[in-house]
Amino acid sequence: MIQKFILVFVLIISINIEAQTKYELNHKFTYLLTYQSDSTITYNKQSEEMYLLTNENVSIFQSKNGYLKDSLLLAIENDPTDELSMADISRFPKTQFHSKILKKNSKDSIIVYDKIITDNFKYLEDKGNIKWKITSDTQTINGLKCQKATTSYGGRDYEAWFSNEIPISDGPYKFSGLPGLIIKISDSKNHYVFELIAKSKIDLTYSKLEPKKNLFFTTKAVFFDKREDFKNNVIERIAQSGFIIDDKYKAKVRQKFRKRNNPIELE
Amino acid sequence: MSKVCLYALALVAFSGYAQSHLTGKVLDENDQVLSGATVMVSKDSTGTILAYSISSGSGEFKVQLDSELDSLFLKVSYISYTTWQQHIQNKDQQLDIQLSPSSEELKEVLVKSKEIEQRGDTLNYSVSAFSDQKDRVIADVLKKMPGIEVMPGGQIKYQGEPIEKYYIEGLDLLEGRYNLANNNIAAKDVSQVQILENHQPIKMLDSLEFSERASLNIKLKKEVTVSGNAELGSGFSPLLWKAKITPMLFTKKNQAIVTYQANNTGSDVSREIRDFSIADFGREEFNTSKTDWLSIRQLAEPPFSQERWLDNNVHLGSANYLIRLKKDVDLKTNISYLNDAQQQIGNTQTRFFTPTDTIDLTENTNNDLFRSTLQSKFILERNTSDNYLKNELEINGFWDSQRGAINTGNTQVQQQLSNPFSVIRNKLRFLQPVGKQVVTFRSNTGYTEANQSLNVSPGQFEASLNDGEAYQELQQTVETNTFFSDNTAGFTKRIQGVTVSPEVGVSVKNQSLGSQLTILDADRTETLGGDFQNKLDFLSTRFYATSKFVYKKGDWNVRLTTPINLRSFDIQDTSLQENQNLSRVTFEPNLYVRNKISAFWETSISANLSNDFGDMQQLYFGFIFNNYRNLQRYNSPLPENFSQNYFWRLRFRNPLKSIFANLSYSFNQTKRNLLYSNQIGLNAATIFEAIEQDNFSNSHRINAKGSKYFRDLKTTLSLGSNFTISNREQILNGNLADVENQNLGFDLDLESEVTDWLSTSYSGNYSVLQTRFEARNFDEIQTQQHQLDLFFYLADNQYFSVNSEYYYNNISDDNQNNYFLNFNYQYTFEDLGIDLNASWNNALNTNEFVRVSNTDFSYVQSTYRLRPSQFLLSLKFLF
Repeated sequence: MIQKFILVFVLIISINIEAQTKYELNHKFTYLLTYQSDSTITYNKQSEEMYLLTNENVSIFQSKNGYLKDSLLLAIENDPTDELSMADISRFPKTQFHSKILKKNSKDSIIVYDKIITDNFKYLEDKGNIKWKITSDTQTINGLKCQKATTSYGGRDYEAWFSNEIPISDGPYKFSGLPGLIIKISDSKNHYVFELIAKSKIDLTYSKLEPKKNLFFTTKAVFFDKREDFKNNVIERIAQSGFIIDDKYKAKVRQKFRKRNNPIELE
Repeated sequence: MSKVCLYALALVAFSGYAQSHLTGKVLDENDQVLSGATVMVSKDSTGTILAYSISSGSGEFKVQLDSELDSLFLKVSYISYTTWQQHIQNKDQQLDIQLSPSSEELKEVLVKSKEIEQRGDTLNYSVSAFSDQKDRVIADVLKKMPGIEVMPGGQIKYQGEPIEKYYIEGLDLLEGRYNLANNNIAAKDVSQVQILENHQPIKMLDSLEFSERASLNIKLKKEVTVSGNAELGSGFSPLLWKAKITPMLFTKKNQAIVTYQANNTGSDVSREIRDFSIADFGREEFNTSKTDWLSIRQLAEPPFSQERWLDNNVHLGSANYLIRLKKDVDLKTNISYLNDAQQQIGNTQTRFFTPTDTIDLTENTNNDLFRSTLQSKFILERNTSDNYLKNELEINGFWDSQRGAINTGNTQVQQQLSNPFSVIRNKLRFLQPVGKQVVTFRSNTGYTEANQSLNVSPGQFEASLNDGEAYQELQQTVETNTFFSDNTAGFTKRIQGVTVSPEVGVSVKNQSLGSQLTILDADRTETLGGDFQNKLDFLSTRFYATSKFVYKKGDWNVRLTTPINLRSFDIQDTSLQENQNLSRVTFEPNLYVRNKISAFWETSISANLSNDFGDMQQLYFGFIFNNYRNLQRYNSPLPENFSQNYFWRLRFRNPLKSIFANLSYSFNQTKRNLLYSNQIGLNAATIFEAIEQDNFSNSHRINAKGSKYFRDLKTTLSLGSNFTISNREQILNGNLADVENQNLGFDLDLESEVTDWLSTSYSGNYSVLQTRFEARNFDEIQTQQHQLDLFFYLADNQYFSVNSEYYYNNISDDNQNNYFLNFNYQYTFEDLGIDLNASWNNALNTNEFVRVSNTDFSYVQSTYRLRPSQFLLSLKFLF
């Protein structure tokens, strides 16, 4: 009996050899993101640092803590004898922004990696979804001469300040396509504000972009649908994974998740 | 190609307007295309950008311009290349632009000093920012803080992981029992809640070992805080009452929380002092929980909420005090006393099957249980950056007694039990750096004592004990004590990607048992000698060396432990001239392998071998009268059980389709050296003995479960099934019999959030149990349970709920069907800070509950008297 089961076990293991693409990156731009996760409570603004890592052809945008966490994991894989590997992943830096955005100059679409709890998702989005209108307004931000451009994206109206003094057509989050780097971008309600706060030269090989575990390749519409569904039906989802929430607390749990009512992309 | 044509067409069509098109390519010094270059058009070298393009993957750009200007300024830049710029004519034109490399650095970003969120591993949550009028205690506010969750039982999680420590002003007063603080400290007294991420509570490990988890610290507003809360409730019938008061004091060097709680409503007050400490994993510890050698006949408790059946009268007092003796040295005292008087009324009908006969026994039972328990813990902790010491002294006393009356129809049996128990234990953990490693010493030493007695009248087992003559009363006394000590040293090291944790240790357990059986008759008192007494010494020692290996890479996770034990036993009874010695070397490996096959599938296997040797409760040579119809001894060698366990699991999850499923199979085989025999007499009194004969028991278990969420219906449906088949050998009335049990069960759950104000859940299960004794099949036992709950959220400050339940079994002659209904309503006066709760339990006034179970050779049907229909009103407030 046992032998049979071991046989079945061996048969169903598929050996998964997948070469990770490596990116040699040499510029790091640090943005400070200040955001408001509950649109009704203005006193509760949170902030997190985000990285835009680039070379001439490609860029990766990710939260700083997400990047640090990935680096720690990578360090463990590369050098299992390191002290670090004693660590438990649950103790690693925490982030509220799990998305990683890959933009390639040569491609018309960007690749977005995101997650819901432990599931990773990958989808493509057309760069043309963000259409800029250039204005003649200028100002100097953090020592850089900037010009203003506006766009509407994901249910918000944005005002972006870009500078050709950094001739990289890129920016935080999914924003790119201006003749210069976006130095500051904010939506009209100031719920999401990205501001460039540091720049440095790096010599980095980024090799762990694509999550290996639990990766589902889907479309943006399906991913947003899943995420919305999770937030709205958190009780059912939690129940489905085997946990039980007392009826008395259900309303409170639901309320807590509903407070996260202000994602960067509203539609 | 077609694109180019289209473009050419567009050029022709639109020329002539004040609109020009600039097209071209951006190339590097080697004529390779550059993509992502910025191509900008402005009025002059300093003007704003009028139009722009970014070169495509093939290096092409197109700029379309609406402008009346005659000349334009064109600028092309690319990172690490010299910017190309030139004045051009405002007309349609094609330009190929070659850039040359440049070593010029990008312009610096000058950031004005700016306030960035709090650095380091500490997060501060301001309580006033999160609390509103209706929040009373700190737990109410914690629930709202992002990242923090409070589970229904009271456990606190940060980012989904349980917190490790709950500090109040940096002091750990309650260890794991933080519910007491969390549910009682007023939100208005707290200024901040701090989350200490990656907090290592042991300071000397701070830079050596990543901490398990985050910890939480409560910062109070005032240096000295005195506060508390209270709850009062009453109802009928009979007269019900409920009271709770919790005063608290916090200063910089002293902290205290005291609580008194009492009720006769069946509520479990011990929940308030539940321990959420995170225990050391996989350590063989001495069991210091209460052991009872003797008992009165108990009734099986119904499988639902205590509040429906427990007839209690409970008082709980708990005092917790911490004093900081000097820097980094704390002394803590936690003392709790519980007093409870419980009543059980019901009856048990047992049908014994012997190979030759069927014996029926009805017992009408009326029990009074008295509990009086004192639990205390004294902890001294020194936590400095170069060493760590924690010593815990635990002293618990139980002064319990029980009284039981049984009416079997023709006889009336009175039982009187005194079952006290006491334990004292000291646990020490000491960390010391040795070279680059940190060596951990642990010591666990203690003593337990139980001097118990059982009196039964009239006297039982007349045939064996009193030459067949009836007599008044039988008394059994048991005196036992146990001394134990376990001491270990170990460290953790990482070798070639494998974490290795070796550990060596020695443990000793010395137990003694004295027992006497006395016949008390009108004219004489006779203490029986011979086989009816024990004077036993039981010494067991264990030397052990164990290593744990953990390997994790990619989709694989492997864990292996390899304990080698040298166990020896020395057992002797001086009065019965019995003596046994045994030494064994055992190897008890445990392997676990998990593999993530794909995003959807995961599988794991585990296997282990284990040896289990009996302790004194499975080895004594003289008979002990355990309960009124049991006379028991183990006049046999030491039980040696060798078992193999295998487990396999396959999991599937598709979050895109909201489907979750898992399938598991387990197999267990145990080889025992002893068989136990039951001699069942005509009055159903059993005499139990052990016989030396190798025998095997096997069990197979298959489990399958799946769930799917239906989004449109906001409903989760789960279906599950399990099947177990087990067999073993048993001796009954002198014959060896093969006993086989088969159990098949199905369950179904539905969870639905119908609207914002109504949620419902249904759960049902059906199970069939079949027992086969040699070739003879017993009647199947079928049981069903169905539960339907409706929850109405009437307003933010009100809710109303209805719970209904139905139980069915096919065996009982009457009461096959049991129905229950409860109502509950809560209203919160937000301004006053008072919660008002009204409940009507057991609205149908169902007065008893019947459940059926079977053992290898009997059916048991027990009926338990429930609490009557009752109404309760309670008020809760802070002071």
